[in-house]
Order: sequence, then C-alpha cells, then structure tokens
Amino acid sequence: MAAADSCDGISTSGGGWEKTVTLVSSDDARFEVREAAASLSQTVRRMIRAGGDGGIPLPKVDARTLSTVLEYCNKHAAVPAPAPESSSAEAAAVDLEWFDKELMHVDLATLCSLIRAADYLEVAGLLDLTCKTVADMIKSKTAEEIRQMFGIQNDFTPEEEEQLSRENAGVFE
Amino acid sequence: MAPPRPALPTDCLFHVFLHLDPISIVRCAAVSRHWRRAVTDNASEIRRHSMGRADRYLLLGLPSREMYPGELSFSRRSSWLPPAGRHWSDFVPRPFPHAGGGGSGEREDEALACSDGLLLLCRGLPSEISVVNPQTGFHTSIARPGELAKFTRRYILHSCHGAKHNSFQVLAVDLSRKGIRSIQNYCSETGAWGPVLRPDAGELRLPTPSSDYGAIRPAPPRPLVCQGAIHWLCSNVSDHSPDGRNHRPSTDDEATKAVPDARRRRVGQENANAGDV
Repeated sequence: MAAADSCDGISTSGGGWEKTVTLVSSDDARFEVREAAASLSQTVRRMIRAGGDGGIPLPKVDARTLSTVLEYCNKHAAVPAPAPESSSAEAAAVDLEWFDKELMHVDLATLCSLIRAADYLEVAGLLDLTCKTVADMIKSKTAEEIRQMFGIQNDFTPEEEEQLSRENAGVFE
Repeated sequence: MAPPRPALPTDCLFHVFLHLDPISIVRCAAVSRHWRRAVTDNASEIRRHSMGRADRYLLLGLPSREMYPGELSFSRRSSWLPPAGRHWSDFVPRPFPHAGGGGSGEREDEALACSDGLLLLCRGLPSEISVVNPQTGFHTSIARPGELAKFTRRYILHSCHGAKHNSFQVLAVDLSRKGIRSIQNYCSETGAWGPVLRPDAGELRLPTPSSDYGAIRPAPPRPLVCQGAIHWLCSNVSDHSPDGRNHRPSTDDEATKAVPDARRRRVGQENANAGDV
C-alpha cells in the first residue's frame, strides 16, 4: 500500500486505531491529523496516494489557516454518514451546523485566506461555506462599499467608467 | 499573520459569485478591473449556476461585450449617466418581486417568445419587456403595449432579416376564449407600437381545444408562423351552420395592416377540423 508510506504512525488516540498523516504548513508547522479527516481535502488525498515521507508539504497554506481548516475537517470527518430518521443523526446535523456558523465568525481577511486554502486543498464543503459567508457580506453592497471592504482601489479610468456606465445603462434601464 | 488585505484570486471570486444574485454580481463587476475580469471570464458559468432568484438575464451578453467591444455598434448605447457623485452600479433596478407561488401570470425571467436567436423576455418589470440576443449581447427594452398590457396573453416575436441587424417585430395579442380581441404590433424600425386593431370578434372564432383531455384551462390556440405571415385558424360563426363545417377560407384585411412590412399576415378562416390539428 502506497498509503502506508506516508503515514507517520499509528495512533491509539480517540479510542481506536487510526491512521494519521502529517501535514506541513508554509511556515513549517507540523500537524498530525487522522487520515480520514485529512482526506476531506482532495489535494491531500492525492498526495497520500502518491506516497512520500516526512509529512505532506502544503506550501500555500500558513499554520493559522491550516489549523482552522483542520478543525473543520476533524469535525466533519467525525460525523458518520447520515443515518436518517435517527434522532442522534439529527442532533449531529444541528451540532454541525452550529459548529460551521461559529467557525465563520472571523474577519474578512481570515475568511479570504480560508477560501484560498479551501480552494487549494479542495475541501469542497469548506469552500462552499466560506464563499457563502463572503457572498452574504457582499450582498446588497454598492461597488464602493465592496471596495472599502476589500481595500481595493478603483482602477477604472474615468473614460472606462463612463463607457461602462453607458453600456450597462442599456441593460438596466 | 493574516495578510493585511483580504484578497481573492479570480478562481475564488468565481466561487463567491456562485452564491450571489445577479444584481450583486453586476456590482462586483464594477469594483475593479480584476473583479470585472472575474465576472466576465466566468459569466456563462455564473449564469448557469445562479440560484435563479433574480433576473439572471441581466448578465446576458456580458462576455460578448467584453470580447467584441468595438463590434457591438448595433448594441444599444444609452445617453443615461448617473447623477453626480453616484456610481452607475448603484442604480441597478430591483427586479419585480416574486409573486410568490400564488401569483399567476408570467414568471419574472420568463422567455415569452423567441425567433431566430432573439428572445423576448419578461424581466419582471411591470412596464416593459426586453428583446435580447444572448449570443451577441444585443439587448433592448420596449415598453409594454399600453392599452393591452393588462390583457395580453401572448406575444409573438418575429425577427426580420432586413437591412439592419436585429430588426424585429413583436405582435401582442389579446386572446379570449372566443377569439382574438385585439392585436398590436411593435416594430423595431419605428421603435413604437402601432394602433390597436380589433378583428371582428363577433364573427371569428378560434377553435377551442376540446376539453376531452381533462385540461382545466385549455391552452390558447397556437398561431402558425410561416414565411413572415402569422396565421390563426378560425371559424366564422356568422357564416351559416352552427356545427362549423362548410366554411370558406377568407382573409381578414384589417389584421394585415397590423404588420406593416411583415410581408403578409392573415387571420384565416378554417373549418372546424382546425381544432384537431
């Protein structure tokens, strides 16, 4: 098994024998994660399959962001496949929703680095969650308000602005 | 630790846009060059994924506008400019609110008619309808026919391959169970609605689809559009037998005037068998 090569060890934590992998952030912080959790990232999953030793390097994600991503992965990987109709599954879903909501209580800069990380690591659920959160912040804002949120300079020339204005007026009038 | 500025590359912006309504997306396209690119490069995907809440046709033609800015001279350029100190994107109109399940009539982004690549759309605004060409980005809004607006059940779009690009005519028809109550024609060349014409409704009957199919509300009869002429199959009830047979085809000249240069149009009469067609 190629996967065995990349496993740094077998841990007994959590009451069972579980494979773990080590992820290394851009600033050389090492995170030991259950393989089931790490595999929520398609990027990591591919790297596990490809094999390698000494941990999986993730040069595009810093430690602070990676820890949040892993917090998400750990939580979501712990939830078993939904067995509908059971009250415990329902409770777990509510709990997960609450967890997601809490996780999104961060500033915009953190959210953006989470989006970039989720995009790079291909954690679909997290990408969806973060993008939806940012979209909700953008919604019903004017272009100028969006610029202020993101600290963006308006780099359209006055001529371009006028042309866009005229062109789009045709669409919106 | 975190970067001082919240920044997102184009790919990530695209994912954010998938969760946005079209008006917000249009505003995003006005933020900066980078953001505009993120919108225009992905406009077709965004449209497809859009949750379909608002007026997704707002985004029609965005990519073509970017790709062929100089060649869209036929596209409408407005003289409208935002008031001083305001930005054009502040004025994106709210779409007409959803009638919310119980509402009857048009859905707000409904395509009402199409012809040769042109689409006639209800954009949810009560006072106007739009004609667009999704491929080229051509877009124009026309007022709804004043008098008929409330009653019009059907629009027929007819694109004219004439001297000019994107010339078209729209025929608004007020259909009743009994027949055509009134019709009015819009011509893109003149940019105006013509006079309201009322065929002699007392005598002409549109074949009512038989209720044998158990339909609660039978669909109005479809016109036949053929070589620029729009035909309805009618029967003339004043003309003899009540069972609707033995009717001679004839031409209603009055209706022909409704479409000045659409070659010819007839409200023909047909025998009762037309109902089975």
